[in-house]
Amino acid sequence: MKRSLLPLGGIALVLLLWEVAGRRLGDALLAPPSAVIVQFVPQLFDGSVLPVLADSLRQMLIGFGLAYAFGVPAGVLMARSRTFDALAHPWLSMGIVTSIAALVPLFILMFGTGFSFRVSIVFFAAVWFVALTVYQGARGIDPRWLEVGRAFEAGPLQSFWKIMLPALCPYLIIAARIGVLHAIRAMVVAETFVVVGYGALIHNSGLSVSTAPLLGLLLVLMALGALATWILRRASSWIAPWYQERASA
Amino acid sequence: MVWEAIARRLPHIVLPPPSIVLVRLAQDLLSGKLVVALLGSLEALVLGLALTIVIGVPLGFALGRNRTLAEMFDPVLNALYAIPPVAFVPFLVIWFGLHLPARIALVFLMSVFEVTVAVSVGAREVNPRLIDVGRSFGARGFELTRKVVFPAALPFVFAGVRIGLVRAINGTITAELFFAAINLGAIMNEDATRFDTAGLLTVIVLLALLGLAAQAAFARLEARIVPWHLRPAA
Amino acid sequence: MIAGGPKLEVRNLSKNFRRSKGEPICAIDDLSLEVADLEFLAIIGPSGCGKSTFLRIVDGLIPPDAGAIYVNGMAVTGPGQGRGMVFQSFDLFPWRSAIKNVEFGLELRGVPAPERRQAARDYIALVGLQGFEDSYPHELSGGMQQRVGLARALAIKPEVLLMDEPFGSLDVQTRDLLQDQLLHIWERDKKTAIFVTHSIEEAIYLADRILVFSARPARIELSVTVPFSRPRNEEMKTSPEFLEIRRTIWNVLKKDALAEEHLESSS
Repeated sequence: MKRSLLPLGGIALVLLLWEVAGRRLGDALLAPPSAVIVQFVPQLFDGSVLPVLADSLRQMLIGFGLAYAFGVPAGVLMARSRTFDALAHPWLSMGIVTSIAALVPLFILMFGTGFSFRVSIVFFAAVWFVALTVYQGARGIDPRWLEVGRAFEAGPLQSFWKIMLPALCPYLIIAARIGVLHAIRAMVVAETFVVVGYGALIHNSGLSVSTAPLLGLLLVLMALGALATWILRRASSWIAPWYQERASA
Repeated sequence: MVWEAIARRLPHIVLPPPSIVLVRLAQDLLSGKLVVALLGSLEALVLGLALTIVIGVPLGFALGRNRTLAEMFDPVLNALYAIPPVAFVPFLVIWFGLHLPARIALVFLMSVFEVTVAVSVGAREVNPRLIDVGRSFGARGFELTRKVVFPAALPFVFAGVRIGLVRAINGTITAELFFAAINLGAIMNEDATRFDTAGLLTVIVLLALLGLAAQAAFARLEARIVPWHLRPAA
Repeated sequence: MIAGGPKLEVRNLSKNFRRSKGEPICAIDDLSLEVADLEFLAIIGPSGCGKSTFLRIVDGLIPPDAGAIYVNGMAVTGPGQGRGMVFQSFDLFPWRSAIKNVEFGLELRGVPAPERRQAARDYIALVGLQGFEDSYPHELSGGMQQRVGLARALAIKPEVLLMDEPFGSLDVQTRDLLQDQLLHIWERDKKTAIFVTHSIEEAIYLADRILVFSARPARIELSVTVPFSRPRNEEMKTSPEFLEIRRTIWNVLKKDALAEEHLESSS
């Protein structure tokens, strides 16, 4: 009973410290939570934030959807085919370490600053992580399970549906979770750099006298990330209840 | 190959083929232009990463070994981790300006969570039987931490710092583009205004190679320092 | 120390384990026993009977709920103080070479480096691992790892040597070899020992006296004094006396095992 209160205590403690620090430093340096509520909440609902956020999210989701649709088969293919793995793995390793921010100036030259630019940045940020996670999951499929399938005379299609797919399920969801986080990050990077959408709100709020709106926008992003993670974790325990993730990371 | 084939058909401004990029990379490295910029970038990278290690490793150990602390602060940490680091940029400008301190701060922000989380997982998962052995032979308190918990978690510390290193390299170039453009970021800005896609790609490839090289070098260091650790096949 | 008194005495020991739900489990209930100086005592019992818990309490790794442990007539609390433990799954430190593992206990006692290095070398030689001093545990076989584990426990010159199913995770051949080696070492340099096992043959072959524990909560069901002289040898394992003791112990254990089966299937 007492243990379950600890997370709330931790959050309360951090909020309290923030409030105290904010009051001492002043709104210009660090607006306290109370100021964020007073100044940001009305702004959140006056129509200047939520529609912009929805529009940004729509483009982010398109980029992420493409990355997922492309990354999942690529990951499976890499895990199942040695040749394809040898061809694609160096690019995967490069893609994982490449900084999204460094891609932004290049993509602006290639795609301009509109819809296709934002979608392709998000795509490039998420696709590697989706592919890598699915790859690791597909590599982890115990060949003995497939042998059991063959022993029971499962055809290739049957063994895909009955063995591969269920075994991959948890990884498909982890891939979505990691992919979405990278997609949100990429969205912010791209939009802040070219000052459009939600990124523009963040950029412009940095110019205002109070840090309250800026902190409010950050809290919205935080809530968004937490919400996405939460939904996908729930989905995981619903679709693949037998799979226990070891670490919370 | 696919890149080369497609790129040869497109105008070079849109996508230059890899052959041109590689030649350009060699040229700019030999002329010293990229080398000077790279050395300049190292300052924020090294300082930011050092800050991450100094703060992230002990914090990770504290969260990993103390259940109460972990339950109190894991949600806070996860929440902060969910915020894209670049969203902090306007905030960092207010606090640290546009130059070195701001860049160090962004490098730190982009790498500290990875290190903290990896170390806390490692410290949490130390085999309790090894701790029993330590206690059985009379180790207690700090000595138990130093002689048993720390070496047992060391492979995780390395894994965390390896990821943190790559994130820190990303943080460095991000900072050079988002604050006052400098070093590699300045080169990219110039290239962009001249519509020089080959130049941009050169820097991107250089950074990616740097990231891979840093990872590989670190993995070798790891094999030297923690030779007992048989890494599971990645 | 009172002359002739027991080396190790356990008085009225009790231990319960709390569970998140339901009644606490009573692992040990009011257990008392004595081990004479230089006696080799084996403890055997059905799995999950609390014999490992008992040994961990004697080592001081977990505190008892009631009762006390006396070494040389003096109460001991917490680990260290004259007891050395050999663990079931070897549990060597993977980051230390064989010799550094053996040095571990000496290091904690503040023995200077050259001295402890020499001592560790001697114990490595005693368990027959010369030439493997600088090997890491993952480079050694299970049997070799447990010999290092034994050397590590012996190196601190414990008054009482505790062994928790030390050969339980080894294959049968390795197990037989290590039993002989343990006997050899122990018969040359005798010290008070408690050996927990689930193998009846192992207990009879090694020990001077065997205590048979009951299923939870652990009580002493039977005490058998092993009549064989030392040094022991392989032939004893086929003697009628050996088989007779084996049958006696099995009859007691079987009853508990059957009761346990019954309990499992009815719940």
